Amino acid sequence: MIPVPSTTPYSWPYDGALMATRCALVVCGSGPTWSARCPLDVDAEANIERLRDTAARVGVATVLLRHHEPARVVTISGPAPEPLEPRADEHVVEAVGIDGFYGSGLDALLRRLGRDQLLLVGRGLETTVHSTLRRANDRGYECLTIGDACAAVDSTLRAAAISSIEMSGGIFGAVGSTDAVITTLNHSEDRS
Amino acid sequence: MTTYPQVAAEPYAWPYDGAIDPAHTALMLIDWQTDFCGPGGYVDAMGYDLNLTRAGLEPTMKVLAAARAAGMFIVHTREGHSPDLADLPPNKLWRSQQIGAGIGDPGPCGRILVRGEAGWDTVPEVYPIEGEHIIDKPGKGSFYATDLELILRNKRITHLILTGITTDVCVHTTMREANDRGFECLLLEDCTGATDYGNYLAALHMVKMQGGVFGAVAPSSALLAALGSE
Repeated sequence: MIPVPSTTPYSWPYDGALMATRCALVVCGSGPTWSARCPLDVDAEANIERLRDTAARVGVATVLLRHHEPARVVTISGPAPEPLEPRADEHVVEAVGIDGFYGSGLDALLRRLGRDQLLLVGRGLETTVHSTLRRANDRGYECLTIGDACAAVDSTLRAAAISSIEMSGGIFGAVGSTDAVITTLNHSEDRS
Repeated sequence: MTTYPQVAAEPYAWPYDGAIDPAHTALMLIDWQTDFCGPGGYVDAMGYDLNLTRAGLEPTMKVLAAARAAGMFIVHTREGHSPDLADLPPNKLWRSQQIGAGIGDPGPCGRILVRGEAGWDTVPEVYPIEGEHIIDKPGKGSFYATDLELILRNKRITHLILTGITTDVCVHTTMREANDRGFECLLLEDCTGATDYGNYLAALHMVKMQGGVFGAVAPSSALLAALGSE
């Protein structure tokens, strides 16, 4: 029942305590579409796996978002990540849009599970993660984007994508690291 | 009604499907409010440089005049909350208070980001006229918790030209929402601005990557040339 250390621009969550039972790990771009559209980021992939492990252990709900193909076709040069397969107890949500809320059951699922603290990760920091984050934030969800668990489509845009979240006192919530989130979730488990 | 040639845009000539048809194209003016670009408003209270958010105002005035002349549907948006703040998420309120510009608090232009206050109103340079539609929105996206999509579908609008502030927040969120909904979007790069110049440039780049993942970007001069109103 403590905030996540070292989040910027404010100590997340705003109301003081990360609670596993109020929290969901939302893995954006986990299906074939964004596997094909996002270059492989080995560190981000490893951090997503560590977060899924921790979420399963402490009772954070994990949602894998699969997005339909956007209108314009692209080809990625270089290796791309594999689509993620759901584990037992993980939820899979299909979304029509780049935003995981559009044309999907994501909002209904999160409300039903009682999850209002969202940890956003995945493939497409500037695309799927940002679009889903923006819609979640407008809906009042308290969002932490875990920067080192997000793969950027274009690595030159990473810094600005993070900065845009942090402007105006955290206009789209806060930004944190995988290690800090895992440490906090393990701590909450020790005390429960 | 007259149609107009495609705009020289990046990464593709806009719109993708041929001529500009003003009967199916809307111009959006997003959040040109004193709170975002005027002295004494919300952005000013947070200490950001107003020149950055005001930079797009003058070109937008020319585009607005051209769009009116071409007979396009015009939509203005305003971000704001009801006076009792019942439509304000608690975390949004908390963050604004932390940065010293609490939503609903009194300021030089009235209560910050509250509907009906002077600071919330559209700036005079691009003020709506009779027949233009105004969308009041509680969030960053113009589609969330508003009747914008219903109105655009009723008017048979399929193409959107976007102007407004700020580029990386309300304009980008709206463009993302519109693109997911199948609207063909053009962002006018000199008719928008952000509180951080680097984030403005990155926001333009994000639209154009992957063949135009969120649509296309052009200078207003290219649109005005297409409309024959340079």
